[in-house]
Amino acid sequence: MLRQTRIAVFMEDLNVQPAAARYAAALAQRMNAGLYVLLLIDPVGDRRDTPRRAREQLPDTARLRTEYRLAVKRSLRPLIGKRVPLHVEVLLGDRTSEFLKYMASNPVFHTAVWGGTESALHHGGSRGRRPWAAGIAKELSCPFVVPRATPTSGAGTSS
Amino acid sequence: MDQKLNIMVVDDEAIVGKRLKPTLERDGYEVETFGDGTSALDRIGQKDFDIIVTDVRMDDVDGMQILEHVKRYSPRTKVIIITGYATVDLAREALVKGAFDFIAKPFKPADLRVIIEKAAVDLAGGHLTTTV
Repeated sequence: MLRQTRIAVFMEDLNVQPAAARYAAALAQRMNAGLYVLLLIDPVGDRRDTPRRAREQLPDTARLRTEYRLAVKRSLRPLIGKRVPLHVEVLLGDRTSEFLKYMASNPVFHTAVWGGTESALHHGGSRGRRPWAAGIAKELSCPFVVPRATPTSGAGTSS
Repeated sequence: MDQKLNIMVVDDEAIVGKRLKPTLERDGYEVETFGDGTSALDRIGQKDFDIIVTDVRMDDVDGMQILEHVKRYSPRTKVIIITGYATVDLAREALVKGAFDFIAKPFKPADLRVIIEKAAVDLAGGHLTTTV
């Protein structure tokens, strides 16, 4: 059986950039590919509480994944239409680590699209840390595209 | 009576052990820290640890060697790999060799604590028995 071509969209919150969603969907349709959205969420963050408190305060991770998955589908479907196969994976934990582990155990993508804001690739690291998203491109063996909204076409790209 | 879980932390950056030890002890674990792989391996030969948190890049014995040694002689021990040189290839190598988890530096202590909690649950067969 032929393996379906995969287009990845990386997101760090539910605010997907419309230009990114439209670009990824158009590419997926042209390639007859599936869209694989990876939402990376760090639910613990900088909390300094004890594990017991963290455990009590953290929602059930399976439930959290389901809720995020549904929310992503709800926000993406109006942008990408109904024809593109959409798969959503929710990764919970330190974003860099979760991203690397996912890429270590999954098939390669034809193209990866950044679904967040362009500034998140350059800024946003706490305490002077390099933003996690800045490290994505060098760990990928496929083109990494950062679509930009343009007045004429709605989506330009940079990579 | 619940017995405290034993955690070994191995990192040649002294600050890592210095910061993690009191944090994890407050969480109810017994913690020993080591600044090099050789002394860590010596100690592993003397004592069974439930969880080992180890850096990868160290001068004498590296974290992957510790992982291989531990999985050969104490398969139940959960090994968590931490590294400042995190790549997809390194993550793959760690997971293939049997690491329980992999975390890139710099990480938030809370993220490591959640992973240690998961390891503790796994050691208890899926039931929470930590002494917190």
